[in-house]
Amino acid sequence: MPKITLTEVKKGDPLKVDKLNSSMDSIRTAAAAIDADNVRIEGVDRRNFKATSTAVNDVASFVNVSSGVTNLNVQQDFVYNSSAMHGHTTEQFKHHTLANGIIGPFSWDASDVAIKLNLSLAYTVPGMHDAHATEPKCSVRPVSSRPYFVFDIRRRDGSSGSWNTVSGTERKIAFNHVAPNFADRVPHKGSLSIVHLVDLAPPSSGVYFSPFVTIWYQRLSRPITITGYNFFGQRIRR
Amino acid sequence: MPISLTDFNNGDTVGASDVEQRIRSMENFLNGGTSQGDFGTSWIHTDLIVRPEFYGSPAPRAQMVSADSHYRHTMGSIENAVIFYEDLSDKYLPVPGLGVSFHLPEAANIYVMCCFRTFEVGAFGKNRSPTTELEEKLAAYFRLFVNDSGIGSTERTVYANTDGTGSSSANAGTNDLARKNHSMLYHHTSTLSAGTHNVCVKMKINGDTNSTRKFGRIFVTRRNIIVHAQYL
Repeated sequence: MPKITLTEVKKGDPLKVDKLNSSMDSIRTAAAAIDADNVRIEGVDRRNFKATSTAVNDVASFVNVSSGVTNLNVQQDFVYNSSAMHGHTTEQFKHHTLANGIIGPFSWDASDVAIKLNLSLAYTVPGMHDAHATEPKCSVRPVSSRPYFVFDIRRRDGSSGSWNTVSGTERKIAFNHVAPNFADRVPHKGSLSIVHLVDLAPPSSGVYFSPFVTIWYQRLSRPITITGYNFFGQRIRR
Repeated sequence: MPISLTDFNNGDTVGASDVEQRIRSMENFLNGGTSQGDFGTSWIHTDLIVRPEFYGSPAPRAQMVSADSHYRHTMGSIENAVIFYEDLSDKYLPVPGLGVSFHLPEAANIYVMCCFRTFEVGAFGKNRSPTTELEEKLAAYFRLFVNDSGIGSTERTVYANTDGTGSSSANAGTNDLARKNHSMLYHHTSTLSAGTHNVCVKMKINGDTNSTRKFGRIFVTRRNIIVHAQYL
C-alpha cells in the first residue's frame, strides 16, 4: 500500500531541489503502486479518480461488445416460412444491414467471469384451425401434432461453421388459438426475453452468437413475424 | 492525462511560480485527477474499488464506481395496478412505476430491463361464437422512451378482451388470451452525457371513438424496471 510522504522544509534549512523533487516523486510514483489496501484502508474511491478512469478496457468490470455492427436495436419485421410441412425448419434471424443477426466476435481471457446475452422481441404467430382434411398435421386433433416454435440463441466458434444451441436459452411458444376453419383463424401475439450467462472456460476468441427460431409442424408459407428486436452481449469481468 | 511533474535540476533558479505550479499539479492529481494512465496494469480489479452506496425511496438505486443501477418495482396485487381509460389522449403517456429519472456524474452507456403485465377489461362483447375473433382489437401500444425519444424496437401491444363488436357488457371478458406479460431488454447505443436523464415506458391508447367502445380500461400491473448505467 503506497503512501505519499512529503519532505518537509524546516525553517533555517537550505532549500535544495532534491527536497522538492522527493515530494514530487512520492506523489508521481504512488498511483502506479496503488493496491487493494488503499481502497480498503485509505478509502480511495471515485472522488480520487478522474472521470472515465475506472471502467476502460482492462479495468472494466462490464464491457459491452462494441460497434454498431454488434448491437442491434432495430424496428423491423422478420418473416419466416416453414418449408417442411410435416417436420420442422430452423431459421436464423436476419437484419437489414447484416447478413445475419449476429453479435460478436467475443474474446475473453481468464479474468473474465461470463458473457451476458440479452435478447428481447415481440412476435406474431398465425392462428390454427381444425380443417384437418387440408392440413392434417396442423390441426388440433388427438392424433395430430401440435404446432409450436422455439426461440434459442446459438453459438459459433469462428467466422464460419456450424451453430450450436446455447443450452438453457430455449423459449417455446405454442399456437394457442384454434378456429373452426381457415378464414377465422386469428394470430397470437406476445413478447419474450432471453437473458443468459455463458460459461467462459476456457479462454477463447472469435465467438459469435445469433438468435434462431425453429418452427415445428407448421404449414407451409405461414409467416411468423418478429418485431421489436433487441440483441446485445456484455462481457462481465472480475 | 497522467500526472506530469518536472523535477528541478541542480543550479536551477527556483521561483515561487515554479513551486506553485508543481503544487497545483499535485493538488489536482490528488483531488480527483488520477486517471487511467497513472495506474499500474495489474494492481487492482474493479471489484476492489467498488464501494456500493445503496439508496431507497423515493429513487431506489445502487451507486458504484463504474456503474449505477436504478430500479423500480411495484407489487403485483390489483390495488397496485395502474389503470388507463379508453378516452385518454392518444399520445404516449408515462406508465407510473415504469419511469426512472437519474443523474449521471459522467458519460455512460445504459442498459434497460423491464417487464410488466397488462390486460384490458370492460369492452363490450357478444356471445362467443366459433367465428369470434380474438386479439383483433388493438387497445394500446407500449414503448420504451429514453429522454422522451421512443425506441421502436421495444414496442409491445395489448388487445381488448373481446372482439369489441357487441353492445352489452354482459358478454365481456371472454378472452384471457389477450392478457400479456411483456418484457423489454434494451441497450442504448448512444452514449448519454453527464447530467440528468430519464427512461420510462409509455403507453398510447389506440385511436377509438367512445361511442363504439371497442375497449374499456387497460390495467398495467407487476411493473418492474432496471436501468443500469455503465460508465465509460
